[in-house]
Amino acid sequence: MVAKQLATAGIKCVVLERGQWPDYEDSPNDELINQRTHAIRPLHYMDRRKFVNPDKPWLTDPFLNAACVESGTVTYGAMAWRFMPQDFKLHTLYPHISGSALADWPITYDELEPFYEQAEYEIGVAGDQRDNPYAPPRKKDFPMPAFEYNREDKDVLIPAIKRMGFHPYPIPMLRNSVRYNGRAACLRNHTCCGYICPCDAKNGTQNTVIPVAMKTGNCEIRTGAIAVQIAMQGRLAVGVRYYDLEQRLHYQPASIVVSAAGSSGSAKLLLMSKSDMFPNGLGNNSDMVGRCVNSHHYTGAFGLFDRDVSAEQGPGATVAFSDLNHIPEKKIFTGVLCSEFYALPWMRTQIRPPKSPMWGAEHKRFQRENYRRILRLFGRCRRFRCTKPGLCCIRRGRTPLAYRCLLPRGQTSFDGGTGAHYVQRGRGRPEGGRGKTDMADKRQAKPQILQRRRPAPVVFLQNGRRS
Amino acid sequence: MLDRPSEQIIPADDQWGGATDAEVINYIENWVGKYYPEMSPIYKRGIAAVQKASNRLYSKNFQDVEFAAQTEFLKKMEAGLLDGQDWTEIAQKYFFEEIRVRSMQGFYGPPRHGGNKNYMSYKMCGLEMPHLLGQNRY
Ligand SMILES: Cc1cc2nc3c(=O)[nH]c(=O)nc-3n(C[C@H](O)[C@H](O)[C@H](O)COP(=O)(O)OP(=O)(O)OC[C@H]3O[C@@H](n4cnc5c(N)ncnc54)[C@H](O)[C@@H]3O)c2cc1C
Ligand code: SF4
Repeated sequence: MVAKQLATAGIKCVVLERGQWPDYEDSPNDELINQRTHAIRPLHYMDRRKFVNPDKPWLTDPFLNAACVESGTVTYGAMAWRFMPQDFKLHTLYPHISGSALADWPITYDELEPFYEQAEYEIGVAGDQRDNPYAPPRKKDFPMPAFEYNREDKDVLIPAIKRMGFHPYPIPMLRNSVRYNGRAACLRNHTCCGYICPCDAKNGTQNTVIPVAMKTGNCEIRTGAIAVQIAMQGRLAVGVRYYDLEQRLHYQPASIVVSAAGSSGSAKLLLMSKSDMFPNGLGNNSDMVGRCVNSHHYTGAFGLFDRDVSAEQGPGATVAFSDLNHIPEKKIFTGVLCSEFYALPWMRTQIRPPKSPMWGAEHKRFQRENYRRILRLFGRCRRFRCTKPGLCCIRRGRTPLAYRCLLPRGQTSFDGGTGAHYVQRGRGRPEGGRGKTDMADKRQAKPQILQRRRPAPVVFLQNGRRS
Repeated sequence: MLDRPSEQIIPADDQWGGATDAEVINYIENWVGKYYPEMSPIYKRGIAAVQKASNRLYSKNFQDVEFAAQTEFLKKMEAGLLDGQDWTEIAQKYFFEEIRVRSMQGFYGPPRHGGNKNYMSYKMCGLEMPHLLGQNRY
């Protein structure tokens, strides 16, 4: 995005990308090679065994990071969340979380709003916030109408969410609900999150800002270029040292250097950029670079029904509610709870009520009968790191390319009060992890999250899994 | 030999084939051979331990033991209850989990890696395969 802004302003720029251009053929609907499950490997990857850590390729980068031109937006789930105004004042709102890395932003939502709008129009977002009383204020409507709800949303989730007094609304999505920017509308196929869109209806840097930047003639994309150091002259960044795929070192002079290698990649690059002025890494004289890196927890509940409920009309995630985001008096600042992206069969093999067999005939029967009977309400919850452990910085391998890599370490200081727990406790529902386990039990089950009428779901919770 | 424990993990039933019919063993061989050759010694040690333990209990190699006894064997292995003398080179629970996870991936994952022959598990779950572009409705 920065390259596009610079290139259209007439400034010549070079984008250094360690990976290659993404390739749809690399993973057409492959549940074992994609950016979400990574059972064999992530989809966009460089040969980490060769370049970073020959012994433990999975240790070289935080889980799921992309390595390709256009990066994470090629395969992301494309939910288009804006921060809420409260998110800019977390320390003020939640001062009780001692030892956390919480801080207020130096800018406000109002200052950022025009840029949210610009990004939403340039990249393309489908949404409608009229039913969301907590939606952050916006000056213009979304550029595209919201996606229509799925059958299971209309039949099960929305009535249940409303019965609980909450406010369901369509998830804002960086996907084309109608033809937009010269590209087709989404076909709503089964796999989306973690995969490349086969019809280019998922919007990211790949089909918006990067082509615009390249068209100006001012922007060169250099692939297989692994930046290892920002060169400094005093306080001024003057260029970047990088390796190519043949392990040759290059130098690219520059008058402006922008580090946009992801939250861990940028920290890594800054730490490697030592100079007289910055002996501990660029900008790291305070020893804070690479610390306090944030991620989110996933929380949520699976509901098991005694009839097929899932229409499998992709990509699955359609409805959300924000009632459990920011309730400072209850110390709750969960994030958002949504219906979940569909999973292909392998991802479902781990999803069983507690104490169920995880292999054998019974496991197979469950899979066969219940693949379409399971719904998931899913939350992305805030997760704060303590100031101290942060990211640790380690050196591995022997080749010059086996540069430092960062591993998230240390404890989470506080997980935002998780919505699922709150829903249960606040409503007298069962405690986390103790759902009923079979259909017979389910008949008598009082506690429900998703639906009270029969057919009633069994609820089993999956809490606090790392994202 | 690994096709036998795999068949235990996902056995055939009246309607649908199991790991053997879906050629899960191809997947496991590809996984080790193509993606993680560094795991090959672990598999060798694991298979040797399974055979040793099987011979101790049944005086036969695992593949020659009858189905119900194989199930009992794997239940014990999952719980780490087989005689520890045979598992000095590799932990039995770890190797059980390795076989379980790989078998699941081979049966329920996409066929392009060697298993899930003819999209067997996808059909079993009611998924049309290969995916139709557009709205998959069944
Ligand atoms: C499965 C999945 C689903 C997601 N769904 C959503 C969603 O629904 N909504 C949402 O808002 N977000 C979602 N995200 C998160 C989102 O994709 C990321 O937050 C976002 O892509 C981060 O952008 P970035 O530019 O900061 O970093 P990245 O996308 O990680 O890009 C960094 C780029 O820098 C390159 N790089 C790193 N180090 C170097 C180096 N030394 N030299 C040269 N190049 C380097 C990398 O190869 C990469 O291409 C999802 C992520 C995943 C994995
Ligand atoms: S659901 Fe399918 S067609 Fe729609 S944006 Fe996602 S990948 Fe593309």
